[in-house]
Amino acid sequence: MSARPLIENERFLRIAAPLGVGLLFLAIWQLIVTEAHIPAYLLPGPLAIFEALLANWQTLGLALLMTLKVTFLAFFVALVLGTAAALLFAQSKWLEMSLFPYAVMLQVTPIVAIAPLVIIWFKDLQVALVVCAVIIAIFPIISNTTLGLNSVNHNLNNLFDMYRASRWQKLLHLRIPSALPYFFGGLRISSGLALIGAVVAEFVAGTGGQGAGLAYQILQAGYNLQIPEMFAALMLLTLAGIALFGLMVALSNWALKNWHESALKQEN
Amino acid sequence: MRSGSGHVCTPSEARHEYLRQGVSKTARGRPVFEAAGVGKTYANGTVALTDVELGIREGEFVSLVGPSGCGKSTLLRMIAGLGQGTAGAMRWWEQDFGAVGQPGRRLAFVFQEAALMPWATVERNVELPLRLAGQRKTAEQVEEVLEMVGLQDFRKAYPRELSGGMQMRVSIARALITKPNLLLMDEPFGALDEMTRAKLNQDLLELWERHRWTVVFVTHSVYESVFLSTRVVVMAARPGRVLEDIPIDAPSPRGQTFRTSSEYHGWCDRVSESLARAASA
Repeated sequence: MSARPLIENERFLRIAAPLGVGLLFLAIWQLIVTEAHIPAYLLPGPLAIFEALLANWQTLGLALLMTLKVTFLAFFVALVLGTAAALLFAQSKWLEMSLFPYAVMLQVTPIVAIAPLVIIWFKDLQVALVVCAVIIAIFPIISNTTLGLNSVNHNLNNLFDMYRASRWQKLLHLRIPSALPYFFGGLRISSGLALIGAVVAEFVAGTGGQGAGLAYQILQAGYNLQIPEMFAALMLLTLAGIALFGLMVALSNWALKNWHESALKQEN
Repeated sequence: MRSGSGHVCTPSEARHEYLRQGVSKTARGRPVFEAAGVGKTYANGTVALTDVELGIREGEFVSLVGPSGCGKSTLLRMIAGLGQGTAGAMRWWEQDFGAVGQPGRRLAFVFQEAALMPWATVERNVELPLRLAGQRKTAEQVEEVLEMVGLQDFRKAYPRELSGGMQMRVSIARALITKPNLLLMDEPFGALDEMTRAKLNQDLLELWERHRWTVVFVTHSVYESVFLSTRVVVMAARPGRVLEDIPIDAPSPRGQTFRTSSEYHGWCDRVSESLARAASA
């Protein structure tokens, strides 16, 4: 095993390959910006962005924390409410049929259009931001979990009926475990949406001050034509999104590691 | 699924009397299951089963064989209470389906696929029927049935770690843990390779010879049906019906010598001929 060259190690490749592509991209970017003398207010090079990040670390770091706070709160609320809704839908076809269209409505209404209303309704801006982020993060959880709860192996379902399992036993021992892979798939999408929701809502609110997040920093930098700072804030958002996604993948792999295809290593 | 009286469509006591005396000549046990004039027509007009007369007595091992579409699986599922007939009457232990599940009247079903819960260990899968019945302590019973099917060393394994044959053994162990009085098996070895199938046949037969459960076994294979059964019921398709009822009066215990004996091949020929008639009927 240890004698194998590094290039054949899948884990190494999984990290090294995209990293290499990224570095190459950054190098070309820097080269073009330097050689073509593109001014920083049009397109800053990666080095300038990195400098801006270091120079504004305190403000940006604090803003990142604020945005993450809204994101995590919204994600948690979406998780709880979304799962509860899916479990409710699973109780009867009637409930699902009558309520599911309204869940879809949440999804298809553009958050930018509702955000001003939400911000008017809720006095506390933090709460308003969380509500906006929940509105767009909740749907994947509802729809995936509902799908999962209804995707039970037919024979297993018959088996539970034959042994006269109660509704509750069936939910607990059959439907919820069957739904887990779908549920975690929903979490992956929803975590990213919670971040997007938090940023969009803050864009709409456009308020600064104590609780200002990254969106406000981006807006502010834009007004002042501090394009490197804008990119730095954007980069932090991207990194936060990737980290969140990675966290969800790890969580899903950990929870399903013993049985589900998505979390298993191929051995052939 | 739980309705009892719904299974009895047109009670016909005379037919039951005929069943009790006529159908099963080989076994003398008390009736476990009886069907009299049972039919099933789907809403779209397809006739799955028509006028099925079938009596199963205690201790019998009955195989249902027939071409695809003869309704053998449908009939088996109806015996299990999965889906009702549209004509005729069915009785379980001389009562309607409501009485099934009480001590001495327990059913167990083994599907063609192992139908295990992939998220649960072998042990958890096997104890499921007891858990669902509200039983907490199951370790001893799990141990016992896993030993029966030869998987005592795999208690903590997950289904994906097992071969197809072993998964089927788990499925059988799960069926046996309730100590069923009637074991229903729907082509349980159909998806397995020939070697595994022969081994499982042998093991199942040995278990049956030791415990003498009543078994109804659906299969495509003539050899399998003759090797295992005390009776082979040949069914025909379009519409699904019982064509012939062939007792296999072979000595017990049966082993490899039986498989190579001329009488075994005689019975196989007999069932094959009947199947050929079923295919052309």
